[in-house]
Amino acid sequence: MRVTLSRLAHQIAEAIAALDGIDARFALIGGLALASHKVVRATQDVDLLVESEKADAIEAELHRLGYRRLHRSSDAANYVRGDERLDVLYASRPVAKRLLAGARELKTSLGVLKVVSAEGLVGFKLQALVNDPTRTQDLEDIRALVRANRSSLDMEEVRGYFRLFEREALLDEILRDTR
Amino acid sequence: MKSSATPAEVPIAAEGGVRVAINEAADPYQAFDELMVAVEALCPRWPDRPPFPSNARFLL
Repeated sequence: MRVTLSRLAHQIAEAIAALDGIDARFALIGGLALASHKVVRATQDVDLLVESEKADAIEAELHRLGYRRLHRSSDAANYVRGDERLDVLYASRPVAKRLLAGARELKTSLGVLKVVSAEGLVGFKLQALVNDPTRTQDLEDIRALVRANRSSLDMEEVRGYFRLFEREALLDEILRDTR
Repeated sequence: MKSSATPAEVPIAAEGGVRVAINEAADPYQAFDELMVAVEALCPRWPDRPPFPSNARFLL
């Protein structure tokens, strides 16, 4: 296997090994998951969807690796180690549980990675955008995902996420812009 | 910096305006890693980022 060089790649590999070590189910979301759906861009954070039942065990592992908690709720948590950041969303609702269960396993140069579907990734990006509209990168990511996967996306599933967040008009705009 | 074995036509930044389909045979995570090596050389320390907003709505 090719030797990875970036600091972020080492951070990912370390986190994955730790979560595998406690049999926690997880999948990549965020900027890291984009690469598996034909969109490659830089990112500063490791973003994971994890099983909510293992939240305490995951936190204990992250503490062991030197992370400290910045924030934690029943929905999500942020951890930091120096300038390194690791964010988790807890899969506790049916949609997130389904997306976690359906995450694909990929053999990559960074090791075996589990990633959520392109449709699910659009949903999580939309959720992030709705929660912080100043995060324009999330909107650009959605546009890039739609553009790169237009022929294979389950658009009914994607529309369902936009309907959930009452942003169907935004999806129509994105579809027009990426035609 | 390590030289790239990635074909030149593979986009490394979606927001860079490149609209070329990624080479399906290539490992996109190799392209990602090579991109991150360059980014980390330019930005050796990440800026602080705020945690999730306290009023965030998680519906998924």
